Amino acid sequence: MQGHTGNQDQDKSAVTDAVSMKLRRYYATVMEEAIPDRFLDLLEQLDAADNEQRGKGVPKGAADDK
Amino acid sequence: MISNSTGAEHPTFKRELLATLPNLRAFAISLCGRHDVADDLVQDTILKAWAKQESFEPGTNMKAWLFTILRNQFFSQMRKSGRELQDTDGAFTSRLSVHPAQVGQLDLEDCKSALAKLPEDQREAILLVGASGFSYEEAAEVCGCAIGTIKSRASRARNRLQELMSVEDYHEFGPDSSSAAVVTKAIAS
Repeated sequence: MQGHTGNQDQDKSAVTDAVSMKLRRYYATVMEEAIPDRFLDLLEQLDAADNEQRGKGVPKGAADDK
Repeated sequence: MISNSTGAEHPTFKRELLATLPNLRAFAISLCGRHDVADDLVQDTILKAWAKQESFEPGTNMKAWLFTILRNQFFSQMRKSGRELQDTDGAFTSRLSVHPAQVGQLDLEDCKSALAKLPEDQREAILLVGASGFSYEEAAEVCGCAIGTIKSRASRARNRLQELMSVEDYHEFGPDSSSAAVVTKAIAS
């Protein structure tokens, strides 16, 4: 649609803000889902495998990384 | 924080990766619309990132680095399969930890189905700059394209989402757009 007036532009930006807000709210809700255990387990396994491969014992600080 | 010169020991690498996981996973879920596919993507990303961790420079943007790996994986899988991942998972809201009534279940479903109707490149752009917290510059880097490209994709995505979603806030202004403008003006001034 051509011939935008300033008023229409303001309407448009109000709608755009509402859209952005909805999107952010949706995304935030997804982010609040618990991280599945499989990922935490996977990281532990990777970490353990690395430590073993290095064969230099457990690096200090590793015990802190739960 | 101690920085290791060898790069072999990165207690911070795992920690940063963990800290980024919720955002990375939310991006994956929003991008492909399915939890199962998204989680496979996230797993592949973790494995790739771990294998390549020597190439990650500590102190640089881990989030952008991980998102780049994930979106490249997503697009290469799409190219391989030769079709879009169109199905979205059902019972989405049942997975949410927040009680849907509090946020508005319809709003969430509305947003999800609207996102699914966008072309992938536009969906990616609007998610990165509109939800995941990237600047246009960072998003361009993640996608390997020009900033202008991201801007126009995000803008087209916004317009399309606006058409697809029912925006109550807009209707609250009422059908008379001139009175709505007066209200908007009054609030703005």
